[in-house]
Amino acid sequence: MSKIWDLRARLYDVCEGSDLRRGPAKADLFRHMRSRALFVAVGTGLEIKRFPPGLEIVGIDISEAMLRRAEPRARRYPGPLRLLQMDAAHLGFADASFDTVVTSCTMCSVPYPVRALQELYRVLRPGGSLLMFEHVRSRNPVFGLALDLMTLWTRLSGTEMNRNTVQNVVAADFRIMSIESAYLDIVLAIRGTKDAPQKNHTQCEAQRGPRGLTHALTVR
Amino acid sequence: MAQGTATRVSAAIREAQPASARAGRGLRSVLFSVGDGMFLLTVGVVAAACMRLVDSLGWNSVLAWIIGMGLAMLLQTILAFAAAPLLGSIETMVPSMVVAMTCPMVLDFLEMIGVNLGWSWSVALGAGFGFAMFMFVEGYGVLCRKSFRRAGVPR
Repeated sequence: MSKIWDLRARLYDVCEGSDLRRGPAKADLFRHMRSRALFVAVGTGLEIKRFPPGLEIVGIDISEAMLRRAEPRARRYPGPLRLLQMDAAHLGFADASFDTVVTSCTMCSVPYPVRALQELYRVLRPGGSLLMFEHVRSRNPVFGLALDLMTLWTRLSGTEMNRNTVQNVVAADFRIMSIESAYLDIVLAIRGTKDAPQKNHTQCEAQRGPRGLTHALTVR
Repeated sequence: MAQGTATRVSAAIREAQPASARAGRGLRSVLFSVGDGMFLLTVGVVAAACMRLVDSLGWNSVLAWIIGMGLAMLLQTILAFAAAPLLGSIETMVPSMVVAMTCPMVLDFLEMIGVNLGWSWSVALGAGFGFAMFMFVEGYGVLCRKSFRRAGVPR
């Protein structure tokens, strides 16, 4: 897996050409970052310029080549920002280490998304924020089919276009606070949280979210 | 101390949403819509031209449909990659793929039932497909934003 991303690192900035369009929506989401934050799959560090200044950030990526390219951008961040090579499914951090966990187009690319999300849940402190900017399978059957077809060849480069990330977030025990559309029901800004342990007895109810949000979004 | 000041400054920056920024976003949104419309119109025209070109060779209808659609989707993918840095990768690829699949299919079906549109009407139909997809995307986008807003209350 890391070899694929080492290869993709060379063209990542060119291919990741959606920054112009999605940038403001990402910035809107990232302004909710607080204190000690973990950024999962930092890539070549394209998103670093959108982080609020003055936070203590750890950026991880599975690819060494990506991290090498991210280093100059990390140095320009006005605050402490460490880059580490790490697999999202096996995080080397203690439980409840972070106030915010952030992903950006990450869950399409990890081999076992629920396992990775469970790791994010583990390292997030109770009451902390999960911020995800992700693309998912559309509920519209026509666009859903188009994304399924695209996955046939994007899968070769390690990207699945048709994942139900909202359902995966719920499966990993996060409570979804809000979901905003960045493009149709395909590119979403998802905000979630990890409930404090004493609230777990109401988890099933909480997972439905405000006015059945999760249910509405996970049923295809 | 310095860390605390930086945190307060960052909080102030986060909360600030000047009217000019909102107006800028409105303009961006309009420009992206114009770009999407032009792009989908182009894909529709190219897809129709591909199918018309293959139909003009007089091959078996099924073979013509497969080759015409394949060619249309190949060109659509190239166009989408070219437009992606400006308009976004998913934003260009997904709706244009639908146009490149459906437009040749309809043209070939019309050919099969004996309706020969000719070049200019075929291209016009392709442009119509592109425009219809653009309108659908715009409408579906509004619906999605509304449904997410209704369903979720940001806290």
